[in-house]
Amino acid sequence: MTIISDREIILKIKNGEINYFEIIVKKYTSKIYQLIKTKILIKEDVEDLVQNAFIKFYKAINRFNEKLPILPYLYQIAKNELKMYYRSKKNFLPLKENFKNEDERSFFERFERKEDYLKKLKKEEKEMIMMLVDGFSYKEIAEKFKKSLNTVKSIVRRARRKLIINK
Amino acid sequence: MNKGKNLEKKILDRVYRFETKKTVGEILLKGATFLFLGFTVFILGSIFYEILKEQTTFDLLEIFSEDFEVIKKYFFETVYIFYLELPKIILILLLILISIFFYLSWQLFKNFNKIKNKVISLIKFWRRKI
Repeated sequence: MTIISDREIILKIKNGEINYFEIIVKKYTSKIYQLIKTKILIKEDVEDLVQNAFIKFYKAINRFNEKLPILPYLYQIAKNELKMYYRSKKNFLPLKENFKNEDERSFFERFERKEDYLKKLKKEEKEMIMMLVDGFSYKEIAEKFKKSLNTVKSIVRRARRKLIINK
Repeated sequence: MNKGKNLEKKILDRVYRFETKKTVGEILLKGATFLFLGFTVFILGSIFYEILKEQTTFDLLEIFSEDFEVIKKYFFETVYIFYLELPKIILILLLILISIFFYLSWQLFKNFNKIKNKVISLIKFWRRKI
């Protein structure tokens, strides 16, 4: 079975072979679902937002640069969907929320006034956290900063400890 | 696991519904535009021809059955008279419509594979559903 890259999938979809979108859906649905599930408790709303995110991505696919990774773009769309959802429900993201399956990304997004807390971090720590929130993986962050995976994880862990102490 | 599959199915359903509406709409719109353009060009072309026929403008073309010396002598004068007798507004309209027609035809030719692939994908999907 030939493994096809995301770039090739996007090119095929742009060429009208829209059945390849199924691969993107199968690959990324669970990740987008997990992201939105940590923010919203109502299951039906979570599913609606996940669907909306993929529909918006599909509609924008002709403008999407196939050289870029898909996941950060999908995350951004999902976050925009969440913002619109909160606006419609007039909900606020509380500081003290009990998250199920909390991961690094959702931890850093908990801070309402992020800039005040992020000022206490070093430039490198801040940049890594912003990349993490934008959906980049540890591996991609390590490649960008030319550091090892373990080093990146240590830096992020240190930043997290600083944010907890200063909360 | 089933929940995940159901959600994926819902996403794909929505995507294919959206694309079906979009593609069918585009095909109908482009088809209607082509038909309208073709019909209009035909009508205008017929009117253009009838006007020239009524004015006996085509008689000017008889110069080409004369000797070469005669053609050489009266060529530019004949062309000038021909130009004066042309119904210019209809001619400009015809040229614009024909240009649009060719532009749309070129677009269709350029995107033919893309449209074909889309239609095939849509047919395969809806056949699976049925």
